[in-house]
Amino acid sequence: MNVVTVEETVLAALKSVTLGPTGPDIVSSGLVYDVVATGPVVRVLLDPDKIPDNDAEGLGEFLAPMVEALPGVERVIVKPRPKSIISSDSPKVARFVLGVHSGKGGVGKSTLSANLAVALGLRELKVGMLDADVYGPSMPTLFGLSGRAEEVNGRIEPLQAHGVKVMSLGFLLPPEKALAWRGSLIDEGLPLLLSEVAWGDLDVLVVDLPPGASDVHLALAKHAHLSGVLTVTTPGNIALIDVKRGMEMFADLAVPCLGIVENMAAIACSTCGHSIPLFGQGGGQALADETGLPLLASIAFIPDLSLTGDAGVPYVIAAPDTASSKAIAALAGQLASRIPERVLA
Amino acid sequence: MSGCASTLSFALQQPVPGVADIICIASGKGGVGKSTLTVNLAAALSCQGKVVGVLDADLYGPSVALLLGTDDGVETTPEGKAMPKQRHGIHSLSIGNLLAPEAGLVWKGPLIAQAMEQMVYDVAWPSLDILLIDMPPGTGDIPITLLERLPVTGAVVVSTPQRLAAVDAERAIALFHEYDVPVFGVVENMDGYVCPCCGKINRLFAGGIVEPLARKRHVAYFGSVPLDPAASAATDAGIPFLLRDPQSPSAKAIAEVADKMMASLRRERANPKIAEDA
Repeated sequence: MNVVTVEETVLAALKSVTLGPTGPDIVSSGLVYDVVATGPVVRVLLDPDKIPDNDAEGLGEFLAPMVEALPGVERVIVKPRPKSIISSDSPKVARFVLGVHSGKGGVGKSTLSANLAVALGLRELKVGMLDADVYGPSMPTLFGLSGRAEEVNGRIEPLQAHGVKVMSLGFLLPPEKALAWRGSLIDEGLPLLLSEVAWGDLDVLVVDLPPGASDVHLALAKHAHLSGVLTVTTPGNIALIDVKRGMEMFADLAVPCLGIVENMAAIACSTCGHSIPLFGQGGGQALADETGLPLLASIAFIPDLSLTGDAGVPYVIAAPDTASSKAIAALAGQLASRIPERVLA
Repeated sequence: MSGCASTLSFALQQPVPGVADIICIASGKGGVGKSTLTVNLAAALSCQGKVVGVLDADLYGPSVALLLGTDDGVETTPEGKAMPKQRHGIHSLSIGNLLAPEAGLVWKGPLIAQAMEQMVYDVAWPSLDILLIDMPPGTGDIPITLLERLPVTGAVVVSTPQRLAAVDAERAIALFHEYDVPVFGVVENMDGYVCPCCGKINRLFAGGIVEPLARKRHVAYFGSVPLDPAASAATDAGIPFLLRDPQSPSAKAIAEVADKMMASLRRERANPKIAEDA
C-alpha cells in the first residue's frame, strides 16, 4: 500500500515553487531545510542562509497559505531551521549535560531533578547539579544545604550532599533577598556558574531549568553544552500548552528532547486508598503521542515525599522502596545508558 | 528601604487610563495555583458588582485565556488598541489570546518591557474598578518592568505550604517591598484536598508554613484555599470554579480572600501611609 504522508504532500507542493522563472525549486536548492508534521500541524523549516535578499518573512507569508490549503494540514508554522547557539568559548563541564525543563512552573521539576541527580550518583556516576532556576533556586532546600559557597584558589567550590556536587545561586545570596535580575545580568552571571565553579571531573551535570522560555534558557543553550533535555509535565491541559512552548524552543535551538516525564499523575487517599487524578489525566501520554517522543516515566504524587524534599533528603534515599523512587531509579538507568563511555587515557 | 529602591525613577510611572486600582497576584514559585486564584478572585469581585479586568502578565506560561475560556485572536479598535476579551463578566487580555502554543517564543529582556507595555497601555480597557495582574513566577524582567512602570496599589502573594514555595514567596514579598508596593496579604493554596470517595481531607504538603511566613514579613494572612479536584475539570472547561460551584469549600475560601483584599484596598485608599505601616 502506498500511503502518502502529510510531509510528502507538503514537500511535493513546495517543489512547485521555484526561485525565479528558470531557477531551481526551493526544496532541491536547500532553501526548505525540512518539513515536520505533528498531526495536522506542519512546520516548514527554512534555511535563512539560502534565502535571497534575506526575505524570510516575505517567503513565509507566501508559503503559509499555500501549505495550509493542502489536504491534512490544519496549521502551518514557517520558521528558520533549528540552529545550535553553543559557544565554543564555554567549557563543557561534564560528558553528559542533562537539562530538566518544564514549560509551566510547579510541576515538580526541581524535586525530580534533585532525585534524578542522586539516583544517577547511586549508579556510581560522578554527578553535578546546577540550579539554573535563578528566580526560585530550590536546590539548597532539596539537598538540605544552607551554607555559602566558598572561593578556593579563585574558583567557587560547589557544595556536596547525597553524593552530588551542587551549585545554586541560593548559595551566593540570602533567601530573603529578592533576586531582581534583568535579562542582561543573566547573560553575564549564568555562564560563571559553569566556568568559575570547580566542578572537577563529572560524568553528568543535571541542570534544573526555570519554567518558561527566557534569557536563562538561551544562556544555557549557549554555554552549557546541553546534551539533551527532559520535559516534565503534569497531566492537565494547562500544563501541556506551556510545555509545548518550551519544547518548541529547544527544538529551535537544536537541543534534542530525550523524552517526557509525567509528574503528579495521581494521588491515593490515605484513608480509603481511592486514587484520583489530581491535575487532570492522560496528558503525558497524549503529549508523547503528539510529539513522537517517549514517555519515560509517570510518577504519582505521594504527599509524604514532599516532606522529604522540605527536610533536604531526596526521596530516592529517604524512601527508596516507594513507587516514585523506583520510577526515578528506572529513569536514571535509562539516562545512564545514554552517557558516552569514559575514554580511558 | 534599602539600596535597590532608592535608585529607581518613579517618574516613569504612568497611570492606566480608566483603571482605578491595580493589584498584582504573585507567587514567586510557579504552579502554586496563582492564575487559578486570579481568575476566581476576579469572578468573586465581579459577583460583588465590581468591574474587573485580568491582565495575564505571565508571558512564559499564559494561562488566563484557557482558564476563562476566551478564544484566539484579539480585535482592535479604530485607534489600534486591543479589545480585551469579555467572558463570565470579566475583562481580560492574555498573550495566550495572541499566540499559538507552537510559536515557542523566547522573550528576551528588552522585548519583554515592550510587550508588557503594549499589553497594558495599548488596550482599550473599559472603566475598571480593579485590574488584577497575574504575575509570572520569579522576580525577573516582567515584574521589574511592571513595578517600575505601573502605579500598583497593592499585591497578594500565593504560596503552597511547602518550604520550597515559601522561600520563593518570601522573595516575591521582598520585591514588592523594594518597590514600595504594600503586600495586602498572603494566601495559602492547596493545603489539602477532600477525597471524593470518603470525604477525608488529605494533606498534600507539610503545612504550617505560609501563616508563619506572613507573620515573619509583617503581612496579613488571608487564609487557606483547599484543592478541589473537581475544580480542575471546571478549569479545563474554561469556567472559574467559583462560578460553577460557589458553595464548594474552595470557592468560599476564595470569596473570603476577595473580601479581605477589598478591605485592605479600602484602607490603602483611605490612608496610604497608615495602611503601609500597619
